[in-house]
Amino acid sequence: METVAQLFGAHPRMQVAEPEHWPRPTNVWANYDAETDSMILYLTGKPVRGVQVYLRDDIYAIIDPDTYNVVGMYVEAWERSFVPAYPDVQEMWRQVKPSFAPEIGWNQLLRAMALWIFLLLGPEANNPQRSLRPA
Amino acid sequence: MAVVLINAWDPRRNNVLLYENRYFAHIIVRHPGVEIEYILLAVEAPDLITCDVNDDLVENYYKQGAIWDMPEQFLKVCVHFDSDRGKVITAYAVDRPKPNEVVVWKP
Repeated sequence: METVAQLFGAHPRMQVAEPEHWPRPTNVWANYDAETDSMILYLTGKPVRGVQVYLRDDIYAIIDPDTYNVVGMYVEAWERSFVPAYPDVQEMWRQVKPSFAPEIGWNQLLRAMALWIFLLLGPEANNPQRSLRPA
Repeated sequence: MAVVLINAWDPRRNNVLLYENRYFAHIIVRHPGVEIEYILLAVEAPDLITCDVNDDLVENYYKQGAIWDMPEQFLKVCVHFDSDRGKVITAYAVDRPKPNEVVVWKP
């Protein structure tokens, strides 16, 4: 069976630059969608036009198509793969998920968790071996 | 009754639907700039259709240049098939198709 990597290669076609500004908690917009089991966060206060650049393990950086700055992060297979890979996220998600209505998909706790994950992992440092606990 | 925005046929003659609620409550909220006509173009004339790596019932339609002001990028449209009909569950711009997906159709 032919894979996409055989057709297009395995490396991103866009460069990924650091966010233009240091992420501010009040500018984090986060949403979990159960139907696609995906988590999305923007650092721009609200969703903006962007290109999802696949990094690895179902994790994408969302890039401003004009400046190449990271404006957000998108994670597929959130409950299926990402959460189980990080014990601290698993613990946090267990508490955060029941706190918001599924049809709304967010609350302040989710927003805080999304910022925490972004700051600790960043769009480029998605190594599952990296600990989310204090050194 | 659910309002259907797109009732289209892909190149394999599979029927694909986009429901109004999914588009306005999810796709355009999370992914500004993804217009209905872009999704229609990707479903009817994709460059590639792949099997999703996380869900066997989901196929992903890719169309480069479907978003008119991002000609180099691809639109990815994820379609869930639980019968002979598929429904669009999300759509967003990507720089390339996901590397580990298996191709199920190409022209």
